[in-house]
Amino acid sequence: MIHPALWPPHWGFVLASYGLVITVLAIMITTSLLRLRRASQRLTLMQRLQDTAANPATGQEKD
Amino acid sequence: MYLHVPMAWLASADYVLLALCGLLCMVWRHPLAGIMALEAGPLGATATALCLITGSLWGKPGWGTWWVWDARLTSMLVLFFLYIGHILIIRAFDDPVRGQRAAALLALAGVVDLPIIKFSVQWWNTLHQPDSITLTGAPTMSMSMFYPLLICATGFTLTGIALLLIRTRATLLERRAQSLALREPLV
Repeated sequence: MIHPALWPPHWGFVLASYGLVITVLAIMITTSLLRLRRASQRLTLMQRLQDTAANPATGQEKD
Repeated sequence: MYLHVPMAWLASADYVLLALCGLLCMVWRHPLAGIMALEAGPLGATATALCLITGSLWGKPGWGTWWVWDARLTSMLVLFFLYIGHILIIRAFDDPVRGQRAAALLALAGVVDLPIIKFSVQWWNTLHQPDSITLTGAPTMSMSMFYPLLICATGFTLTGIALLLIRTRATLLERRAQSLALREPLV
């Protein structure tokens, strides 16, 4: 391990900057993808419910 | 520098997009422009906040202070407040179209801040350094720093575009699902 005395100057500020940006980006990307997934699942469910409501016989035949 | 400068560019570019969406909303009343403006606001506010915080973290070892009421820093803080105002206004109305039009007015009025941010280091005597990169002249920084900066800026810009498209698509899907749910009773 490199001795702390030999670390680059102001390494704490550099670490804080990169840490902050990477954390914020990771949170934004994850939440956006999760939101997209949830929205697409909800839309699929609503479409399926609409189809079932429009053609109840079709659903029964399948059963 | 590889974080602060791309974030500043992204924050300004996002505001240009916000103003364009506002114009499309006001003049042609395009519904997609309103949805894009809704999603561009939080992204721009995040980029501006990150730009201010990383700048502050850079300023402490460089200038010896976290913050000064310098023209560049203050105009960037004004941009952050414009984003916050836009985020609040666009969500403040029960009728989304009214919210989009009111927020579009703010976005168009706030465009005045962009040239102030850009030229603040030339118009006033500021602690912030002048631009190292201009569209017309050669960069005043070493090429060994310039190319990594360009790569970082391209990466952040593409990430910003991807996030904007993902969030816009999510909102569109949410609204389609909502309209299906409201159309008629399902059972």
